[in-house]
This record gives sequence, C-alpha cells and structure tokens, in this order.
Amino acid sequence: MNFKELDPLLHSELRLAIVSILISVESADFNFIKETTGATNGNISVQIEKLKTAGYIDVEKRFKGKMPQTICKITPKGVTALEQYVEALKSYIDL
Amino acid sequence: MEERNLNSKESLELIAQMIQSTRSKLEKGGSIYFLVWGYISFITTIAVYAALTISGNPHYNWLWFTIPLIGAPIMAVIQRRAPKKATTYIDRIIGYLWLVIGIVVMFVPIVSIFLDFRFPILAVIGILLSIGVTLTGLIIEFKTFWIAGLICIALSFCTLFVKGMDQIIIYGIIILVSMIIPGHILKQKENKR
Repeated sequence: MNFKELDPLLHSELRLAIVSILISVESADFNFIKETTGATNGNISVQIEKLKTAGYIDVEKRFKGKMPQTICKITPKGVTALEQYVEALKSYIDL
Repeated sequence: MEERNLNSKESLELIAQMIQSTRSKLEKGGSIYFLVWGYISFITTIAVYAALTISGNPHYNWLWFTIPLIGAPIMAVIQRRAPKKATTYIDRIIGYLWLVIGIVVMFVPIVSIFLDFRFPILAVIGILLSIGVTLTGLIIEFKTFWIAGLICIALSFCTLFVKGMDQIIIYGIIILVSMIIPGHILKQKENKR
C-alpha cells in the first residue's frame, strides 16, 4: 500500500475545520467560523494567521457600520491543498 | 475544538460535519424576503383595488409606488439587524437576479407613464416576478417555489386577456401564490431545521 503524505498544516482539528467551512462558502466572517467550530477567539485567530501565511486563505478586515469584521476566503491554493489532503486520507483508509 | 491532530477517519468526518453544519446554517433566513415583499405588495394591491373601486379616480394608481418606498427601508433594517455572516455563490447569484428584476420592475411603470398606448404593466411585472421566483426555486432546489413561479407565469399571461379591475385581482392572486404562500412554506421548513 502506498500512503501519501498528509499536509501537516491541515492535519490539525481546528485548521481543517476552518478550511472545510470556507470551501463551502464564498466568504465567511470570523463570528461565523467561531459559531460553527465552537472554538475560542484566540485559538481561531492563531490558526487563521497560520492558514493565511501559508496562502491557503485570504483575510480582509473591514467595517460594517461601526462593527469591525474579519472576512475569510479560501484561495485556489487552499482548495488544491484540501483536495490533495482528502486524496491522501483516502489512501490511509482504503477508500 | 482545539489544535490537535486527528486520525484519518476523524479528519474525513470533521470535513463532512463542517460542510453540513455550514450548509444548514446558511439555508435559514431566505423566507423573510419573500414574506416582507409579498405582504407589502398584497396589502398595496388590496388598497389600490379598494381605492379605485370606491372612488374611480385613476390617480390612486400612484399607490403602487408605496411598495418600494416601504419595502426598501424595511429590507435595509432587516439586513442591518441580522447581517449575513457568510455568503455563498448561490446567495450572490440570487442577489443579482433579484437586483436586476427589482430595477426592471421599478422602471416598467415609470416608462409606461410616457407611452401613448395602454401598456400591460401588471402582466409584465407579474411575469418578471414569477420568473424570479421560478429561477430562485430552481437554484435553491425548492420545488414549491418553481412550481408556484410557473403557475404565476401562466396567470400573468391570463392578465393580458382581462381588463380593468380584474387585472388587479389576478395580480393579487399572483403575489399570494408566488411570494406569500411559498414564503410561509419555506419559513416552516427553516424552523424545522
């Protein structure tokens, strides 16, 4: 059996959850990610920063009225990374 | 949820769970738009019908313009109170669809003021709205909407064959069938999720 290497950046619960949310939408704000994952603000911020640094997501900070908003979008690189990650997973569980 | 490594099965389950959870969260909230516009249009239709029947004064047709004048600020308040936290490509497509339909629907009566022949305003607006409802139903895969939309396209064509006040009655039925009834069914479905 030939096992493919798993992307270490995605092989973490919260980062994988964030990328999975973003693959289903065009964009999502920080609070939506928080509600869906149930993680803390600090933890999400750290993981978003790591995904952004890797070029997997784009992050835009803006204001809606007086409220600050952090909008996240998956990049083509992030989409490819998730596809490759799922392919790699399949080789481990023999799908 | 925290930063921990998962095994292969857990990873696949997490991806599926997040996609499912995101979808079910985003499928809520669409009914409010149909209900607000539907009820404002329906009440205005009854008001115009009553005013024209009682007074016979055609100037009461200006009452139609209360639909955007009341609807637009209500929509702005709804969107400000509950801003969308995530948007999908489907949201964008439906948003643009209704933006274009809304603008054209606004221009139809305005342009008709300058025409020197009787333009079938209610039939044209009915067709435009029904096309919007049908396409929305097809895009979000909600059968009630596209069936209601198709029925109302047919009803809109019927409007061309009747005259005067009967046109307003059919238009009222179009609003009821294409927006209010499907809006309530969608709301019920949203509440069950």
